Amino acid sequence: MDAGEDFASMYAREGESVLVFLARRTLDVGVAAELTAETFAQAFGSSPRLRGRSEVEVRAWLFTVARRQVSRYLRRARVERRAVERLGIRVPPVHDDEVTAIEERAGLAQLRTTLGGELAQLSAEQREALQLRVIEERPYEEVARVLGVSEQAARARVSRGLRALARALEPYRARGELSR
Amino acid sequence: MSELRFLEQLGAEFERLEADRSATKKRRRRDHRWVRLRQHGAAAVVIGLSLAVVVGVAAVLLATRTREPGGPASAGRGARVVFHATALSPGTPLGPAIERTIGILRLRLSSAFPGAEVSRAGSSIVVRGVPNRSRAAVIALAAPARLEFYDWEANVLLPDGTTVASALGAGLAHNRTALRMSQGAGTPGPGSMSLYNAVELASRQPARVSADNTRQGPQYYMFASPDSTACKDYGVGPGEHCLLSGPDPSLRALYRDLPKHVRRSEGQVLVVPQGTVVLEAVSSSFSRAPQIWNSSAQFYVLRDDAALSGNEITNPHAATDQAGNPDVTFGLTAKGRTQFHQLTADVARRGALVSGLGQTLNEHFAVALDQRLITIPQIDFQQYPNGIIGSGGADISGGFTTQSAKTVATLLRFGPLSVNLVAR
Repeated sequence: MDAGEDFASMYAREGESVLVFLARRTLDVGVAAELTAETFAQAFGSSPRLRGRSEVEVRAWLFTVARRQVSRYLRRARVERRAVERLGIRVPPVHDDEVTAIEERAGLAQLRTTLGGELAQLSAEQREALQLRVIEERPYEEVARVLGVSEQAARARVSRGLRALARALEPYRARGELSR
Repeated sequence: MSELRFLEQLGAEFERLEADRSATKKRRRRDHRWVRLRQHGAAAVVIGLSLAVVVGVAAVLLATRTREPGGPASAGRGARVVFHATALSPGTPLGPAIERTIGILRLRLSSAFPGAEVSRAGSSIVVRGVPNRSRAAVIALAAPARLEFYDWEANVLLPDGTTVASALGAGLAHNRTALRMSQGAGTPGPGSMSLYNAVELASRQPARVSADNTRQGPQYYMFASPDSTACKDYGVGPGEHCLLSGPDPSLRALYRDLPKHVRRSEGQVLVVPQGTVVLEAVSSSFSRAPQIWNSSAQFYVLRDDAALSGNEITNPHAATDQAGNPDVTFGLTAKGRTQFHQLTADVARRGALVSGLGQTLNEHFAVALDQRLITIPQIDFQQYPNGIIGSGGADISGGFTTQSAKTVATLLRFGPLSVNLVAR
């Protein structure tokens, strides 16, 4: 952060872009919101070290943290909340009207259409889990009920499916169609 | 700043942290200055000590002149309320939980007492700068604020430990007590019991650990025997047990809270395992409900399988119902709406199942705040056979006054405390 710039200004500048970035990576606004909170909680803890850095450097640092959060989420099928819990942050809920607004800003509708085609490449188990969670946007409890597995297992299937999709979508990313 | 409410509210959390961080820095700088003064040499220490003695004597004199017997200490800038903090469950680190609680308390107090200062002193939290005679209002705003919704008939226990829903099953002759407990709106009456009897029944239940439990670990209570000296001291009538200590999350906390003149050997410890809760019956007046230790208070025992918690409510505010009575209205998060819909659908389905032969038996869900039942609304299964979609939010009316509705709305707005607070 430039000398004199406080955390609040940096958050006001970068908050939405980090949230949209994470929504496009996880295709799930709820998860993206939690990852955004964790990303900025880590930034808050590191803010004394970021002081004096340029806007570009701070942004690069933030997005590296955000990317790491996504990869941990995809690997472990759960959102890391270490910094959020250490600081005692209460993550606010995302209301329905906001979900729509964030999805629009992240272009998730278009992304989901592209994904519909790519789903065919996945195993039936992963396809069904992603169909329910990502395309039909059903809550995890319902996904678990339909699949006849525990909620934890449903989360694992979705995250494994997303990981497989991320690999399938690499060519699109390389062409710049999906990146932001 | 983005106009997204989520980002705005998350930003407010960081602002709170930033304010805490600045306050801590200032405190450290102040302490540091004092340490440096001491290092200037023996002369400085002597001057410092002399000044400290003068200031100390003056403070004692002032306190002696202004303190009301038995009441809180009154400073020139207002009253001071001290709370002792204990962990919600054993093993939870107290430090971070106290810091979180201080943040929430500041928010809760900010509108009613803009000048209030909240700070930490070891395992206590001190509120300063509130007007004299506002102690009761400050204590009301330091309530835990844990709100839970339960499927009433599926969770409330009959004196034999079975649920009311199981006794109202279709095709069975309805158990009279079960029927009255189901249709009794959670007020004192058939099936309700004294605190001792409720805790005793709860202590006989097996542990039922699940993700829907609102409390982690067991809860400890200590009672004195009927007609014991301790019960006589408390003015409890003949033949009645009296509460000496609890509910506490650990035996250690239970013994610590024991009155000084009572020995441990005088009490009987009862342990309620995780998965069962003891809730006070619905009172006609929220603010005048009897305290837990009052022998007129009545209780119900429920399985602790909450269908929905206060974490899923949004924008709570005080309002009035159609009859003009004060209530608290709120919206629900997406998850909360799903849970509310599921809860009311289950209740409606069971109501349809147990009704028959011209008899309509609507079933209910219960709303509890801080171990006290607030209201037990019924679901009309004929009007809502598939439950109620919670998109319009919900409201709770439980004998509120305008002021108590405002207090409850404030408590719910900023979420539950992370520790238990007891005013000293």
